[in-house]
Amino acid sequence: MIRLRINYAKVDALRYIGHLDLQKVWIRVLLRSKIPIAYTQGFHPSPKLATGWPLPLGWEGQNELIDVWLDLPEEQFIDRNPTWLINTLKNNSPTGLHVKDGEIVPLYSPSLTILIQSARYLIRKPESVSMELLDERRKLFESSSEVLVTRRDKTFDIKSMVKNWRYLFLEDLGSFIEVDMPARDSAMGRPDELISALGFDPLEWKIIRERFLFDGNTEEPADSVVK
Amino acid sequence: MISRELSESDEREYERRMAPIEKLLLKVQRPGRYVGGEFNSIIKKPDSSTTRVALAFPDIYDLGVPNLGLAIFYDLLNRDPSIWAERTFSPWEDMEAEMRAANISLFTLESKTPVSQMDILAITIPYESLYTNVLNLIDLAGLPIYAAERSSDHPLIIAGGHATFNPEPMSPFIDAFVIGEGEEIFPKMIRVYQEWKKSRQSRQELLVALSKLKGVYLPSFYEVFYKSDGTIDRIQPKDPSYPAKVQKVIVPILPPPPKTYIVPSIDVIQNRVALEIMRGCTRGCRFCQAGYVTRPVRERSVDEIMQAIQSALDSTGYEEIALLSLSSSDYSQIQELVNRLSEEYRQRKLNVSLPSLRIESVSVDILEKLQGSRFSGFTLAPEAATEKIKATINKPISEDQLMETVETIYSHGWHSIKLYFMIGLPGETMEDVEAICDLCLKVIKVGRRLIGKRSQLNVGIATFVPKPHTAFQWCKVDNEQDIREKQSLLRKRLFIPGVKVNWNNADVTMFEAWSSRGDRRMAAVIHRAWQLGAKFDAWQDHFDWQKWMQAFEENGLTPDFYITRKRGKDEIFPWDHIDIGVRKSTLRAEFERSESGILREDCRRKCYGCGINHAFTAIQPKDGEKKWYCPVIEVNTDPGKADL
Repeated sequence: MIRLRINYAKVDALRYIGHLDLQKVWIRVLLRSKIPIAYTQGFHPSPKLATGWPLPLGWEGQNELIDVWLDLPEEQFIDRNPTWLINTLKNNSPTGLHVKDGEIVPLYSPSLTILIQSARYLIRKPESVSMELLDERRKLFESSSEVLVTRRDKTFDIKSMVKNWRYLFLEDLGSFIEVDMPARDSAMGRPDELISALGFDPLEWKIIRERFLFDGNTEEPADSVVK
Repeated sequence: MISRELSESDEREYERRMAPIEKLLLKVQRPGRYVGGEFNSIIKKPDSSTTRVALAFPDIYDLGVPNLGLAIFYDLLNRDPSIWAERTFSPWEDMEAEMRAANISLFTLESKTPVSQMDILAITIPYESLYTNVLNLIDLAGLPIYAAERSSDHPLIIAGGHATFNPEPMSPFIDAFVIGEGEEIFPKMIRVYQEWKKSRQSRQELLVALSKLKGVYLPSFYEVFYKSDGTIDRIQPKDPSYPAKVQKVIVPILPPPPKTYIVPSIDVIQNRVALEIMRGCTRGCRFCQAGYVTRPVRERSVDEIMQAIQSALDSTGYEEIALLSLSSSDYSQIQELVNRLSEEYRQRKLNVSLPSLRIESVSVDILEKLQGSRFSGFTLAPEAATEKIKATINKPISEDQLMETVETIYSHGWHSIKLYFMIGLPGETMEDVEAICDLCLKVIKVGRRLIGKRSQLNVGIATFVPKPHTAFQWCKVDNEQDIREKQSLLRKRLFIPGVKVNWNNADVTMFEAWSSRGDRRMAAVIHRAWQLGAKFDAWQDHFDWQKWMQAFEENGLTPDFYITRKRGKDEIFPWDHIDIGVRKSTLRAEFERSESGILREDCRRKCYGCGINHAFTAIQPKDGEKKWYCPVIEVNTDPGKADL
């Protein structure tokens, strides 16, 4: 058995497919690829897979992660190079699921949701919001000692969740706000709540989860230009 | 087939159409219904010569995607490079409200193009409770509801499916109906359309050209005259060159099943490959419309089925296949098919479902072969429990046979059995209903004895509706009070652990009856009910009796005329100009036999000359040709000559 960690993008039509449905989409991709899946033990065996944190509906994910357990001999992957697997998966994916690359990880290493500490988001304002207004609200946000938001009857300070706020200009996508927010079981930052806290309507904004950040991983994204 | 390399301008165009739709998606439940992009969906690069077709299922995505007819035509039409067939479904209420508020009209899932810009809008109407949804769909597309108000600038609206064997209630809204099987006629209609478009003639010319095709019914070419009592005096073509009767079309040999199926990215009601192994049924149950309108029987070969399964599983990743037909265990090669399935897919986790098993022809061996796969459960339809009613409906399944099958099922490790019964049948008394209870109690007792408390029995109680083109088309619906009493008796006596009873509300049955038996005047009622807000009538929580009653009243009609009236021998029915191949005299003789309780054997054993062979002599097989025939078992004659 091997454990393959797949890095993929969830874009276009697939952004509107929820987390549980997405897991079924993955199972079908694997079945179409005819890659032997490992099944869970027990009375109702089901394909063994484990995902990173769910991506809310409508958001784009540029580098999402999923672990799949495959019934393939480890010896086949001495060089840890799963290129053929990745290519097969690419050909069997629906619109909006872009398999990018993958790596073989140790069978019994910690799960993604343990490894992931935070996530980096790209947020694009709608045209109706001017840069001046955004800056004004940002200053207000940053000068407050705390900004309280409520989620499911729990109140917490969203300001403490926002790290590394920067403005970016990306060649093909235009200008973005980039922020890091925690992505752990105990604290899950949501950029839509940040947008609301700034006094805007998050439905008008585009949100992209650019990548998950593992422990200590805070390097600058290479393809961005600080404005 | 899937081409994703759109040019940049195509992509920009797509983005432009998608942008306003995207604004709505996060405000509605399950936005995945409206985005397309599923695996195996087809994107083409259309040019001005491409014929654009929208295939519509007039209910939500979740119910429409698994529809086999849609899958067949999507696959078939898109093989032709001059055609791009896309899909569209009814949006659920929340999305409809958002679309209307934002002024977004109905669009196709593939390209997000407004349906009003299509060449052809083809709507499948498998059951009558979709009628108001059809009107809503046309309206959401921004098109005039009445065909007479549409022009050459609008798409041609065509419809087909089982409900259209009585096209009259929907006749003012649809330009052309396909009567019967569409696999050959639909592409021909598109050819006619393409020629017409090149010729730049009037809309009327298009309709005339379509009327020349066999199996195409142009309702506007016919006129109906009524008697003073409201029954029909005559149905007459407006021009003597139109046929007095429109005969259904059939495909003499079933074409290859779809090679592939669209795989939805969200959960829908049936996530599986559906494969038709046989069309038609020889049993002759007198209430069964499908049994009469789908004659003759045609089977697919085991090889063809096995290949189709392989290709469909490979290209979809599904783990379940449904082998569809009206009576799967009557498929003459069923044993071999099941053997080969269990051999070939022993290693793979494959669910096989055989939705319509005939009690007397399910063998222990079939059951055992299915046991290896994760077979989902058994549905059997005895329909009746007394000899009298069995003879009335011509479904003589003996109690011994049923109990034997039940015993086999429970003893082979399955926990759950589903039995279908029908109440309200002609001549039925309370004793007949009591007998259904007795029978169910016997069945669950067997389960208890064999596997104890794990045994489950689900009982589905349908109420009889005298459908067009059946031997029972002269009958009336049971009265509402009696239906309620029968249902409450069943509920009371079967209120025991392990037994679950399902039934239809009596008002839904009435609705089904007036919709399926309606004449042209019913169209105004449907239109009015829709205006009053009736839609999704097939959803029990949406069906609104009051709206329909108001619509009847405002149009000076009564439901009773269509429901509870017993029809005279010579009454002309609204669907009498639609010829299903089986003669009306055959149906009448069957009706009279039912009244005397005379059974008719499976017509594979003996041909009774129902008319179907005669109707299709022109496409009869020559000696040695492998075309359709009414299969003959045991009697060793040339199958092609069974009717002689």
